[in-house]
Amino acid sequence: MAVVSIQKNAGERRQGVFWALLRNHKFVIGSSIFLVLLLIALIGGLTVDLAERRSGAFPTRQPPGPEAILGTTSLGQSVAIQMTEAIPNSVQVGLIAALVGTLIGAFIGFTSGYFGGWVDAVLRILIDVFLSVPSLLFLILIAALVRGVEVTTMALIIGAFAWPSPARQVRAQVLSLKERGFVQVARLSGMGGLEIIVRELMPHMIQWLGANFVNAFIAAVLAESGLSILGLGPQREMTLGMMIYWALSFSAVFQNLWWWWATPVLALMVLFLSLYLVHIGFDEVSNPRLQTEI
Amino acid sequence: MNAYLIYVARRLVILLATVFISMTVVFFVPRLVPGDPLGAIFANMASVGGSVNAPELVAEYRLRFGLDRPMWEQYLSFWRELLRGNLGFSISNFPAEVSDMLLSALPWTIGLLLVTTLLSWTLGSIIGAVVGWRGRQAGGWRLLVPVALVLYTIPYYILAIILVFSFAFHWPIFPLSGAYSVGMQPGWNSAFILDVLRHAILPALSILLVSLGWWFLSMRSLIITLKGEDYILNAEARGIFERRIMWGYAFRNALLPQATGLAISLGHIVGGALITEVIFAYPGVGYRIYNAINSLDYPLIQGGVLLIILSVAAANFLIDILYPLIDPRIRFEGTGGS
Amino acid sequence: MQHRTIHRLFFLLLLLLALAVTVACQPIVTTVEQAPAPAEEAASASDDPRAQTLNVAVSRPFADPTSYNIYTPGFDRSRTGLGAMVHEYLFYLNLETGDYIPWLATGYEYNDDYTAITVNLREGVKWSDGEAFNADDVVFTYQMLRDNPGMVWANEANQAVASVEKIDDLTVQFNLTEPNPRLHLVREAFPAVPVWSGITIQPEHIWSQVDDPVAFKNDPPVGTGPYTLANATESAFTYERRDDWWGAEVFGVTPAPQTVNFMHVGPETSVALSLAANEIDTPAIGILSPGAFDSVKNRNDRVTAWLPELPYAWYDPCPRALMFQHEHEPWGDPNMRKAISSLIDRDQIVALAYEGATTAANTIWPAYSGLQPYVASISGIINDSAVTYDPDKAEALFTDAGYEKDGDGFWSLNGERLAPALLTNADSAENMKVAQVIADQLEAGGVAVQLQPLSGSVQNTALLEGSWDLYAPQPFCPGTIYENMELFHSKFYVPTGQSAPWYERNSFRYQNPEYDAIVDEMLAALGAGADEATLIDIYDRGMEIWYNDLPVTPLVQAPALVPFNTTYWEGWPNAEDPWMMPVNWWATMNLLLTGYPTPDGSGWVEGIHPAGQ
Repeated sequence: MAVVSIQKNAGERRQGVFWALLRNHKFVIGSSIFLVLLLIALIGGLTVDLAERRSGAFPTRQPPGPEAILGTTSLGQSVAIQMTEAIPNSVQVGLIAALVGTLIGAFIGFTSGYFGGWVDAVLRILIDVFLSVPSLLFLILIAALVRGVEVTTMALIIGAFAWPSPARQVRAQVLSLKERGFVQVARLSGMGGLEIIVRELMPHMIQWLGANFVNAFIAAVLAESGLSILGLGPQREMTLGMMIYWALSFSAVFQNLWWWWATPVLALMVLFLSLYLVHIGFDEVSNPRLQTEI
Repeated sequence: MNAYLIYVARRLVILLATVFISMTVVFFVPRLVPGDPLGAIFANMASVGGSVNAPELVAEYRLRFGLDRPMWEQYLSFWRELLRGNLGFSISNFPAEVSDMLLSALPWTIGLLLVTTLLSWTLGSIIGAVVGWRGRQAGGWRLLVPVALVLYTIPYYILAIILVFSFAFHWPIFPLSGAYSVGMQPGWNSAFILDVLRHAILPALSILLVSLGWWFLSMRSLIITLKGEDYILNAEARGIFERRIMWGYAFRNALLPQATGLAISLGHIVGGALITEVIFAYPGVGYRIYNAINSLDYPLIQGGVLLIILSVAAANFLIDILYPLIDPRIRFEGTGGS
Repeated sequence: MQHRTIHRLFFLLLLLLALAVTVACQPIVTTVEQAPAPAEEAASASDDPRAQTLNVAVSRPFADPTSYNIYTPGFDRSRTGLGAMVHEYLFYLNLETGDYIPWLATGYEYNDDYTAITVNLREGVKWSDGEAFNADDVVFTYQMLRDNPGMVWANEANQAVASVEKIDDLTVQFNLTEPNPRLHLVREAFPAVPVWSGITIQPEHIWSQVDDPVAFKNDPPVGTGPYTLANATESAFTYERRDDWWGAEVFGVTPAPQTVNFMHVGPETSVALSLAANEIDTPAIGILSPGAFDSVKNRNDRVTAWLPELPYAWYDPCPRALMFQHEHEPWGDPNMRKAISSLIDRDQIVALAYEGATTAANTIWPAYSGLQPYVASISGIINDSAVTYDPDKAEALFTDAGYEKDGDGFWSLNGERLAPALLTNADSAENMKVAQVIADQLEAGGVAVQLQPLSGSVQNTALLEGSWDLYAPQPFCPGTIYENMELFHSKFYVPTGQSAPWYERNSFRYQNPEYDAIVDEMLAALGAGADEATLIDIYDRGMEIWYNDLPVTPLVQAPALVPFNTTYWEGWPNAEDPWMMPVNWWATMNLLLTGYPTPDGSGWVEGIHPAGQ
């Protein structure tokens, strides 16, 4: 009896989270903006020829016009075409880093909370240590020394520093769930360890993991753009941060080539904004009291 | 009291572990990279002429910086010197000592960071509490929420670029860069201090505005969550003045997680300020470390990172041990926070 | 209800966007009146401190403003201005005119077999603390270098000079380790400079008391120059003119500026704005890009450069070239090198990476008038060579070597795609821009080049050890006929994996005994005092081999865009009146301020003077 009712409730709850998210305006709007931006960039990128990407393909330093709708750079490249490469690359960094960070973090947090004892003690110290370390500093150190990285490598390095936050959150959740007796009841009804994890604990975690994932995403894109502006980014590929870097190194601000630096800046802002809305959406779904009027 | 002491001991272990692990990483990572710190010096020498790969020269400097000894020996002597308070000589700026170079840069970073962080935290918390509490009655103040949202999502350095473009370039009100005007003699006189303040406004503003947004939003959501708590309703029912409830009950209780948030984000703030320093050519610790990394100047990198790690970890430690003394609800098994 | 908030949110975003766009679209003020009023009339020089000050902008802050020892490796020899303001040299070489200017010395003479050089010191030279400058200081300095191998250039000095003897108070004899007719031009071993700085004579009465000359801070720095170091901070080194400079008596001239500041004002934008606002008089090399300079000129018409129009720039002595790693296949094959060379559109590199501020190069020598006869004599060789953009030629060369274009259009041999690694220095904006353009050009030509930007020590090591296929752009210094030829001599060859002597000194591992023989012949001819016709003949024969082998391929002349603001100071050298190199980052800068004696010794070439006078 208990087994059946628990299973049913879990199922309902799972369904509940998904639909609750879709009903949340902020989540929907945030995700839509994000997806639209990404899709425009991806589709635009498909229509572009390799030759058009090279330096000298367009006249240099042109303001937005019929030939290049977002203007051109000092090296004779179209800003719009660069954006079709930069946006997906920046998103890629965020995605991979967030995935790596959240998965590792979830795993560690989970192990720590579920098993308790000395495992928990050691892992907790590890989590706290890495939380208090200024990760950007170490990122700069590593990026400066491992020069000539690619987008994926950069994402992995950033992701390696993204795990403490989700680990801490997941651990707290697991602990509180443990106390609320889900685990005991499930054990009593004969569920195995893995089954408990998947059927009972996971559904509660989804919204937490989701919020964490989005957080890590934002932080990763932030880190990448910061590193790129310092000149430590993936020099061979174009990301939003690298576009700003190139604009700055050609003195675009002083030469009043505003389209060159303003476009990636605005794109970053819109990206962050939309992701933050998604994050709030996750937050509000898990804590309905936040859903008050602004 | 015993539980508290155990808790303090735990936090101390974490502090020491943080420093130890960080310094070990900082020690080994640069040395594992294929590159020679002496190469950077020689490149500097050679940029003004001559080929300098003379064996005697190289040998002499290896000896001076102990680079000829095996790595584990260098590691041990590194800790030995560290415990004696000797941070060594900077390789790329020999004979300048690391401690001197960091000390001269420290006031700028502290001035910039500490002031802006505390200011934004305080302002943000207060305004956030008001807007959160008043809800719909806050009127026009509610516009601050989307403003804060936009501000918060802008990275420090982006805002720094926009500020430089607008207020130092387009409308040349503020200086473009540096900590003080050229030719000014550093000293405790009003002219110098005013000059420093003038130069600090834009970098400080970029950090301030962004952090302000974050503290505002987080305090607001904390207050909103607290508003529905039973003891608040209880107080209202008992007829206590609304203002007293807001400041005395809600705000005070929200302060604690807000303070923890400050501790957690310290590391993040320090990192972001580094980039701001580079953009404004502000002669702080971050700028020094950045240049040291590029020249593989091991002692300077180690010294700079140690300084930052120590301050951040120490700040965290202090907040962690003071927090439970203020909030009696905390039990010292360490609830992991949320 | 929630709709309203969303609306508000977007409205605000739109507002911000509109604000940003409005701000961005405002035309930048272009008229001069908007800049702070320049000193139009002869600035009442005695009143206005700014009119007495020369401000030079440098590219980075000074990491350590407490040490003033030019012999310490970490000392910033290029930015502090110490070598120009406080120190002086026996002779200066004016690269523009070719004059060898006597300064602390009056003349030199080699013995018959070039194993010794005797130098006559000038009478009346005094250190800034009043002590006399004489042969004791010279002897002592070289002894110090011998005893302390850690001093910069100690190695070079000790290898070239066996000993220094005092003949009398004003005469010194340098005894060389081997015959060298060009020692007087080797600044790393002899105290005469055309550029940055070099062996600097230090006062014996001060330095003989020092235990460790390498760690000595030399505070305050004592030199013979007309300025003393008044103040040093992280952002500025300030020099004040002193009244008791020996040159005022001996030469009868004093440098015009009372105060000279070498200061860091910030990144390029800051420098450009300060220049336009008359806050600085000139920036050091490499700070302003041509585009930024253009904008400055539009804001302030008192800012000039070497040339009044594009390319604006003066030519630095080190033209840029693309190097091939001969020990990596297939770059040992001259035809493959020529193929790559033919795919490079040098004019496009000039237009894009340098924004038009230089010219394409077809030799590795700078376009100085003194070198014209040599370069003109090989114009035929150059025309037949592969140093111009010729994609058809490239295609033919690839096909002849057995390459075919694969499915994606890239050249492959037996199914393996040609994918060279193009190494470059990520720390240098110039390098990144040029490498980017070259990479795109090679890609367009069907070569799947892998751009590899490295930086700092890692880059340094990789470059010297030869772990690359292509490297661009590499400056080829020092830019004189013999020395640049010598860079390709196989005596500098070391296998890859070991450190080459220097970046352009055969880090590309070229070996051709025929070429070596010509270089040796050239050295012998120079030592024998051969006339120019003979030298040109040897040069031609050498270049015939060189262009046939094409060990590296020339790219562009090196632009040295150095603007001068004539609001406060006039008389700067330019293309019309090239009386001196327009450099503020070399030790020769003091000659810009004081001027120098004419070659026949009878007159004086004047330095800069206050505007309007």
